[in-house]
Amino acid sequence: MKMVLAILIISFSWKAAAQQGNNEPEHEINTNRFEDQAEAEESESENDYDLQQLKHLIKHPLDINGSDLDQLPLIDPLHIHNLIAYRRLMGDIIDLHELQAVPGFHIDLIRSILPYITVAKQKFSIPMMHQRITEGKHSIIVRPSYIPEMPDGFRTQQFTGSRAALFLRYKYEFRNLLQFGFVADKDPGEKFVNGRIFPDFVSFHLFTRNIGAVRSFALGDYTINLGQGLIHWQSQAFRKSSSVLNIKRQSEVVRPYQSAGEYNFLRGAAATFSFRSFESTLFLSRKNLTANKDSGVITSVITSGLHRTKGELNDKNNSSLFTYGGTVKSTFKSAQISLNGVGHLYSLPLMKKDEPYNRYAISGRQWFNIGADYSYTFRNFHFFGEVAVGKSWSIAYVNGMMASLSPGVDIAAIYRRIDKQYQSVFGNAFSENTMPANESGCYTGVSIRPHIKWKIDLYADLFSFPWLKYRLDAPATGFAYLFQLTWKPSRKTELYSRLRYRLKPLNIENEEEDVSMPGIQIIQHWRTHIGHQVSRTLFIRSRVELSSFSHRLLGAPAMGYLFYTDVVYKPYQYWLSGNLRFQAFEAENYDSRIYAYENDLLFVSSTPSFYNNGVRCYMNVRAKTKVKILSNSVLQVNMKLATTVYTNISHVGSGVGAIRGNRVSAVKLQFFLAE
Amino acid sequence: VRKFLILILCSALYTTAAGQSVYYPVGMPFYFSANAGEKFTNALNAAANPSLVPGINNIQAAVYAEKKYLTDINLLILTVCAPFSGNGVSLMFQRFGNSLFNENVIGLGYGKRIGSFNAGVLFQHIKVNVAGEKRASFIRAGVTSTYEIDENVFFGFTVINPQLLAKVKSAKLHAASSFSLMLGWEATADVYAGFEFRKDEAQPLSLIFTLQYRLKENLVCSLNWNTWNHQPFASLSWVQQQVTVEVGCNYHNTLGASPTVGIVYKKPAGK
Repeated sequence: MKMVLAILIISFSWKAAAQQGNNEPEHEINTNRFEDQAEAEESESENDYDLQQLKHLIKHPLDINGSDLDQLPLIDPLHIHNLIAYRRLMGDIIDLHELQAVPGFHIDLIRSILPYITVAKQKFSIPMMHQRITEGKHSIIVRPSYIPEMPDGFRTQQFTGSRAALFLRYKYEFRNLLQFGFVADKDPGEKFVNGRIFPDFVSFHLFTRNIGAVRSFALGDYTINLGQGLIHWQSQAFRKSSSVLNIKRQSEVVRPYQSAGEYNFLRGAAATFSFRSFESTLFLSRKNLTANKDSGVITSVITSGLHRTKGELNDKNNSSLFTYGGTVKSTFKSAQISLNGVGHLYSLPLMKKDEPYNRYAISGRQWFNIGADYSYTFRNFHFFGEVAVGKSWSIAYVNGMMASLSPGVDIAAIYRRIDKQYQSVFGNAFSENTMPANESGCYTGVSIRPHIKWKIDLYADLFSFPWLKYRLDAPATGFAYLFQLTWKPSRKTELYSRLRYRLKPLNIENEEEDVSMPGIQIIQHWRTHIGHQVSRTLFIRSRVELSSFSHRLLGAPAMGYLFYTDVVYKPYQYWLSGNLRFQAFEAENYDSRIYAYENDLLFVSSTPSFYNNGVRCYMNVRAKTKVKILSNSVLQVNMKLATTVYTNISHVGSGVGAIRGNRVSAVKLQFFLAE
Repeated sequence: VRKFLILILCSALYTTAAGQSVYYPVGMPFYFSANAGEKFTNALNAAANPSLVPGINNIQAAVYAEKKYLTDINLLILTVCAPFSGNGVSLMFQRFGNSLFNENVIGLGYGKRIGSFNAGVLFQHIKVNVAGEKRASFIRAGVTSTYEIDENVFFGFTVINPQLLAKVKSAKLHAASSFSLMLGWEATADVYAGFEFRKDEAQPLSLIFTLQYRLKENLVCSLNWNTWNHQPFASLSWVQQQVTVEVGCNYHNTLGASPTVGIVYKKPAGK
């Protein structure tokens, strides 16, 4: 009897906690973007700022009549401009339904942003400092994870640490005006404590907004985002994707950094000052680098953040990078212009491997970039761009345009030209290459909604590399196309089919004859995806994707396919939710691999690639309950169990991370406690 | 429409198995294709798709010139379209090349409106000159159509040189067969978006996309992308009474830009 009573009490407790809302930010974002990004960069981003921001906005919705609209990552500058123009003409938005009257705000966009916006007037007085410090909310994340199968690094005792991974984050937030916290992270094979009291990676940040003329101030770890990413961009930024109009880099200049990635951020202080229509940001940073060194020079900077073996530990923090810079921005009625500059000073000279493709690479101890960026809105057109020069005085520029031609037709176009000598340390522009260098290209994306149930998205990108690059021994050209047809027969069902065709220049390697020569790869992907809301609590989605990879030296194209079905159980205002996936895949080689976004723990975006033959299953479970540790706190427990079984290989992976056997599993847990 | 679709499907299947040694006339799919509707049709695309001729208001004449990649290879097109009551004819002359290689095309088209369905037939005589080689000439013929599915939605197809009946010797030079399906949407009076799926003999299926936008009453810009030759084309047209002047540019990734200029004269309605 006591047991039954206890279960009932616990159930009611969980149920009450569910009243906090059940919107999961990752369901609102376009997961295709993560897949395209992972494929382009061949790695996954650990920067979860946007997901955190969405989660924050669920609790503290953005005033749609306010001036901070750029804090919502789901709308682009043209929509923001249209909304501001509408408000100027018609007055403030009275009801969210009124958004349908704003040019460019179609029903899908409105639905996607609804959880994060409000029309309620938020007349907050400017808080005193003690209010900021005492009236905020605390949150803690503890995320242990474990791979049951043992990688070779543990068998051979090359790894110095334990097999578990651990991520820990504490954050204090007062609205969007003050936040501070720390992050500690340990990857599998790393020691949690490396000789001292600190874990392998520790990050601290303090970030505050709107203190007098100081618009924002960051101390500790932060990211800097300038212009269109030609000289410096450290936040998450997407390239070509099925969000074909999403081509503009848009962010605050300074953002707090609170993620597990160990390279792409700055460590020091940054401040943005505001004076009338001018805004100026200054930043200083010094952080240690993990690098490969040879004869007193840095030959390459290691960005993986892995410090598992003695060799990796020896390289840890063996050099440093001092970064400084600033920007001045002037804002006009429909335009803005900024002047930007960044300088870098390495503790040792940088000298990359002596290869022809490295001829124009960054070298020496110092590097700098300066430039200017602009944006201008004229009627239904939004223009933007950036021009920059590097230390070698080579020029790079990006110019783009977004326009809403009619309620059913939107277009975006961008032209970039980046000299082969141009380099930047933390650049991340809209380009085919991972770094903005050695490229020119022309991209156009169009989104057409001829009917409320139909949507066509397409892009075309034509690019060329005027100089050699890694794995390409000749100047070359290429192109990429995407055509996607989306059909929404009802609010409950959505089906899309898309074809992606890429002609990508890359060396073709013939391992038998040990020959490598420039060639052309043709990569094609055809995906059909359906999602259906079966009931109020049950959602299913299923996908089939075919891939084909061919080049001249390959007799027949390498083919691949991937199929999955997801069942998502997500009852409204209930304490328990979860999802389940069954997936089968077959791809002849790495080149014909297929990426698939996976539901993961909260704030984690996971987009693994699949090749070889196998099946994969995973299950996510989320549960919420109220706890008495902090006032009105909610404890959310997430668990993910995943396993992949390969049918054609006897070991998975390579090097110290290789696993003997045909199975790889993962057990992940997350405890998220938030007021 | 269903019968025509079946016909096209059969033709396309046949084409994929056709011979490899073929002749490909110079085409401008980016320019001629995927345009339909009264506001977005002119003598240039109507000459390539005669089913559009009954849709234009009055006699139109056009000239189009392109300097290919700023080299000595030029393209010149002259067209005249004359609509009558529910039907019309078009005449086209095209010259492409230089002194070493050039080809001349003379085309004649006839279009007729049958309710909301427009049909057209096309005949072209193509003559190719290669320095030091014997001249070659061919006949190209085909049918074209446009169907107004809805007030602002257009569907069309083109079948050129369908080699269904005559078996072509693989070694013989001949005009290529070509099939295309077109879908166009006049989103508003100022915006037109069109797609054309095109299959040329021994070439992969290509997609041509066109977007036209009226910036002002007398200013129209257009953008075309195609997977046929991977060259984007952008243009700006200025309409002044009966004359439309269009300047544009093709862009090739390696070879560079090809500036174009076009002039269309429209005889005023009622004269």
